[in-house]
Amino acid sequence: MEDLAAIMERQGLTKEDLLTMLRQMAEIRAFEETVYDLLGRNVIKGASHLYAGEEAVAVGAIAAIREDDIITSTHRGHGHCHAHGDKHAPTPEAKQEHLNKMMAELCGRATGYCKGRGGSMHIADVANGNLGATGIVGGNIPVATGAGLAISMRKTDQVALCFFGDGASQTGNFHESLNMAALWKLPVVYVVENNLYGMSVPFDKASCVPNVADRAVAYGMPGEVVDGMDVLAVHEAVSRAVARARRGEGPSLIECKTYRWYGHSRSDPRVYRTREEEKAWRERDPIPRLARRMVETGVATQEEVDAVLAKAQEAIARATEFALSSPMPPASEVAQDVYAPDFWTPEMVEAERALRRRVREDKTMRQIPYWQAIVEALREEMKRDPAVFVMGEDVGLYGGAYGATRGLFDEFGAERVRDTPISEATIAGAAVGAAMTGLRPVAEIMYVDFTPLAMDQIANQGAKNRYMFGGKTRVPMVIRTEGGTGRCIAAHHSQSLEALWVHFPGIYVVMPSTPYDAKGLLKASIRDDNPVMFIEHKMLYGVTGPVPEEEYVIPLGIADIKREGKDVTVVTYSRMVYRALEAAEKLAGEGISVEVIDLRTLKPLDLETIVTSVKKTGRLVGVTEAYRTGSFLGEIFALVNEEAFDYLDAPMVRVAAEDVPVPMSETLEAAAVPSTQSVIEGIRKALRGR
Amino acid sequence: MITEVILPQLGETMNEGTIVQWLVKEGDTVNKGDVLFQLESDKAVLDAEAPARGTVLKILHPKGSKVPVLTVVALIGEPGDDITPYLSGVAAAAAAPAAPEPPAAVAEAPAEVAAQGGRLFASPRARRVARERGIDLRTVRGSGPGGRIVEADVLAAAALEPRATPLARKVAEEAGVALTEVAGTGPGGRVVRADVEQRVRPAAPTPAAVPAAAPAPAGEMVPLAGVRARIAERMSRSAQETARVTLTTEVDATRLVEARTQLKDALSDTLGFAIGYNDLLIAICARALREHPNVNCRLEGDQIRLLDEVHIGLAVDTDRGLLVPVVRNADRLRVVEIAQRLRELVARAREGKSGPDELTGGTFTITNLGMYGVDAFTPIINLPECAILGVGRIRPEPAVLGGQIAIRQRLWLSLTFDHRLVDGAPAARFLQRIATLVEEPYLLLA
Repeated sequence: MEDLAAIMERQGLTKEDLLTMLRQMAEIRAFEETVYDLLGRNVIKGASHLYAGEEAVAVGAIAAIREDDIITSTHRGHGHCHAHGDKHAPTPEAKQEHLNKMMAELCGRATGYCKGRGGSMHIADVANGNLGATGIVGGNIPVATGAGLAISMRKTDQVALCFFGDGASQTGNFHESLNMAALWKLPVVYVVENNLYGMSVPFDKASCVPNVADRAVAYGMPGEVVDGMDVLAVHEAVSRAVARARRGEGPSLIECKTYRWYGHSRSDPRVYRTREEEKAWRERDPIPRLARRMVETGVATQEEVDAVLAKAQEAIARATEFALSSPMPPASEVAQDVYAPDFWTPEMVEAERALRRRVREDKTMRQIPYWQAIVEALREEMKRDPAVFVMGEDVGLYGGAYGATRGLFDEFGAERVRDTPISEATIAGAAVGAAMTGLRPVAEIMYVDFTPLAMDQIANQGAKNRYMFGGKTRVPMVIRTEGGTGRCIAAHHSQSLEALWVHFPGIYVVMPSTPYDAKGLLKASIRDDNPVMFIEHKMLYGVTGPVPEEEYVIPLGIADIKREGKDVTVVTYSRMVYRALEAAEKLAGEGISVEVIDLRTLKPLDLETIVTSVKKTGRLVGVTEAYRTGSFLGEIFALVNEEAFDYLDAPMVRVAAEDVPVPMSETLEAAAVPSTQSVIEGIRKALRGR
Repeated sequence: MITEVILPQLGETMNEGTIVQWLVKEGDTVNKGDVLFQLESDKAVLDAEAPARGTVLKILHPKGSKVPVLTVVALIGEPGDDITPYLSGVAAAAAAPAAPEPPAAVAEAPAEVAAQGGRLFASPRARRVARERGIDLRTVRGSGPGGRIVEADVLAAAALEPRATPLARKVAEEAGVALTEVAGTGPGGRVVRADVEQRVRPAAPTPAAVPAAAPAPAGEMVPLAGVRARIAERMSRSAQETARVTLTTEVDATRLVEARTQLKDALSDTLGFAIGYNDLLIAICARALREHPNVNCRLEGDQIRLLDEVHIGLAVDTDRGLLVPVVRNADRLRVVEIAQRLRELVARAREGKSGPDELTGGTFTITNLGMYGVDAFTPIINLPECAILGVGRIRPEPAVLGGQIAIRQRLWLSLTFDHRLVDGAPAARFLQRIATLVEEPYLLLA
């Protein structure tokens, strides 16, 4: 074995550094043993995936980064959280406080890192650069890549350290992210903790190459296998990769071969591995291994080492006492912190209402198409705030599949108007990571039909992180996409999938119908501190309408009554606004007075405007281009039922798309979605009462 | 351009339909889709909509007409359009056997549809508006699908009916005062109790409240309103429509009196009330009806419906007027159950709190005037039922029993039946069966 003094010399480590590593590893071990015990006593509820055995990886890797660097963690993340939190705690008291908050979070207490919202699988400390653990295997690889992108765009020498397991290396996120990071030379160090099993399935039953690191060559980055039971080996390899990243040479993949002492989770009987194998790995336990080396080489005395190990037990005992004596979070706070606070004021709402009147009445106002309104919004916001940037497939030189980023590439360059590989999950996940680390990404997913490819990243990470992390982060990103029928491009390019997106708490959904709305709402969405799904309509890009010359934003959550009426209320959004207005015009000739409400934003929803209108007319028709079953109309109707039941004079009527995948053929496509005539029939039905 | 309004074919089996009601009149402007008239097929009452926008130039077939499907029944166009080509057809129609006035039952159809099965269909908005304005939805005719009451119906009813507090409404009803004749002094001209009481007490009339009346015969005017109006309408309809015959028979009620006395003595403490003759008579009539289903029937159009269930109504004199609570499925109830049910029904009827199906849906009615010393009378059939039993007083009389003169409890029974539905002999057999059960009430146990 190499001489320890030589290793310390080469890695620039002091005795104190080594004692810190030993302490951190011992504390993780004691923490996990305590958690195992608390789980067994049902004091800790839920799932906990224990890190015992793998301590050298987290401790060695995190020792290799600076305090201003970023990490992302995994469902087996207590080790990362501790090594990172300990590094950021300057005093012994702060270190104890950090352990207290960690244990309290696992116990679901109000005093925990995330106020008991996340628990073991969603523990985070975003303020200090720990972007958190995730319950989705591979879920944080794109997020770390996005953090790397943010660092790269800010041109600092920080790095992002991305932990994940051998199981995650089989996901699409791994491939997409490593490719994107290598392509853009992002400062990300990918650390694979290969503990040989993806839950129960051995690595050699999941991969025909023996090492995850072997795959690095496919992405054009260095790959290295290290002994994950040797904290100094991990430290050395990660230090090398970090130095490379800081030099701007791009990402690395480091595979740490390691082993978990316990099963996948507390309930795992470990039938898939032998006790002999477990014993062999336990003989390589990283904690006594480091302690022994230090004593044997005279770096530390046995007494010093023993004292460290004993204190670790005490620290965890204190943390446990703190956690168990902490209050549970009050049930009254269950709905807190889902959304970041709104930035708009009542004055802004009123100003927009006045502006809207002007837009409607001022016949001399300039007219621009919808696509140009989008471009203007992006341009103005990019000029206003250097944190804003655009990324997506073909958004650069090409100007976007529908021309909504036209000209921006020339004006702002390839860095801020960034063409991506065809990697929807990582486009979205990178947006999440960049947003959590200070940028305001506007990521384009070319068709809303493709957003399910990115659903995990947008819904599980982007939408939920703020809440799961106790309100201690913001994800100010916009996913721009478009939907709808009209171009005969069939069921993978013509859907209206907004109902998928309104379902998740934590994300707003905006669907403008006019150039004026599109510009003002996009600007508001970019400035909003919440994730926003901004869904345009492919048949509206060419629609022209009045847009003021001056700067304006439209607060989210304010519906627009596009036409006033008294006999029946039509609630709709996006392109169907035009069909509703045509229907209203035709019916006006028969003396029927139709009120058309354009929701503009589905979430936040302007229920007040809907209810006020229904109270006036007593009849409600909903019109959507989305599939009838599970469409957003169902939600609106349920709300009206709750809020205005006594004002309904007839059953509410849905006018929605057929429950068929949107067909290609022109006649079939037209038959699949509401026409002006079907809106008229819907209105008549509401008036007849059946 | 003239657009023809035809009587639509609403089903493959529909050959003709009756125009129940015109909702527009000549000269009205209508929009395409407006409801023009209601028609009744053999199955239901349905709305017929305007096929075009324009002025109603001519209604060719009035309310009540029964016409073949696809007949032109009205014309829509511009004022001044020449409609003479259509008028010869009307002349022909007029020459044909005169279109009968619609029977009252048909005119009432929409309201009856609304209350079908005892449930009243009204939109939530209509219910709210009715609640706010103190309108009883049971008095409102629904114009919506299936007779559903919508807001417009309530507003129309409210326009006819003055706004009044519920208390004022109750006081007015009890006093038999029409609210239309009471000047409201409450908020927004609402009639309050004091207004009604003022109207009732003519002692201190304010000069303004006294109309400049034309000379009229002396006597207080009591408006024909509320329950009184309903009774008037139903009685006259029954008197006009039915072919009624009354059969009378005198029976020996001694054992009925004994049975009643024994039941009273045995059960009064437990029940908290005494079993009465009406309870026993309901049980007797229910049994007799079950055995004589040809009397348990009603007329529907040109068909007789033999009813599956036996529901017995009992005429009750209340402060609110004559009411007929109905004991449903009386043939399946024990006497005690009948007695309990009847008392609940009567109590609610007296308080004006009857449920919608508690005063309707009977298949036979009993009216008992014995307590007033009446011996026999000719009751009026409670439409749409087929028959009614009048019960006289029970009194001791000398009678021949086993060749001896004995003092027996005698009772006159009067059965009025509708000869259109049942003939004299079967009706007599039915009455005979009632007589037997009165004379030998223990047969109820059989």
